[in-house]
Amino acid sequence: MSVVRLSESDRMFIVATFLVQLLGIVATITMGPEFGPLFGIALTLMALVVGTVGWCTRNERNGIPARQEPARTESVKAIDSWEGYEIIQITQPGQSPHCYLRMENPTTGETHIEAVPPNRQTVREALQWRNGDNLDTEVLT
Amino acid sequence: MSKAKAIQQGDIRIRPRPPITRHMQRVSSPVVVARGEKTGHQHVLTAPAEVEVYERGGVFYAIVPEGSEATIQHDEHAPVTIAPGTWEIDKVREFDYVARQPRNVSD
Repeated sequence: MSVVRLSESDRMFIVATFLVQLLGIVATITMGPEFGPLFGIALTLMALVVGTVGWCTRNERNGIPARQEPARTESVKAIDSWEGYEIIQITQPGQSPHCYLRMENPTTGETHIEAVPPNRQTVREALQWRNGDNLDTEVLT
Repeated sequence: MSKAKAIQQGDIRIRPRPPITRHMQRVSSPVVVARGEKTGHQHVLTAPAEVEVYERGGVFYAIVPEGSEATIQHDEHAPVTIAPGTWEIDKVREFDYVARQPRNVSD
């Protein structure tokens, strides 16, 4: 039989959620039929918000990003550029750096990003790798 | 002799290859050598009759004789001209950081 071990913060979160729910029930009983239900619903919604935030926070602590957005990014830097191409290195907390080839379509001007291995840190190396056999690229359109 | 170089047109790569046509299917020009899965845009190879075009498993090969040339066109990219030689045409690759291995680019 597997035993789920809760951390201190997990236990506090469960107790807090339970207390907020309990307050809602008490309010519903004591404040009468006019305000009690509304107050109870408000507290229940608050418990839902607290629960969602707590869940997201716990997932992030466990290494599962709750939201994919730049705010979670530790650093984004361009480490090489050439003729409208750039190597962008993104480092996120607890992860090894990821490298991306950022390119601009020379015909339409649209920007496009592709992942390249982390050891390809110049545009030339990235384009060679993208080719598959380390050939230099003569024409790029 | 300098090493031959590759050509990239958007998400396809055109690389010099030895002229091996065994187990390949001859196809006639013009032919769609790649199609964007999401955008539907096509890379279309156009070549005169003397240019031999083959296909195997979604990878195309063009044998362009001396004095001739082939062209690949796409709605969003400038056309590229393929000089005499034997060329392999397929998708470029990108790195999948989850699987930690390369995969073909899809657009």
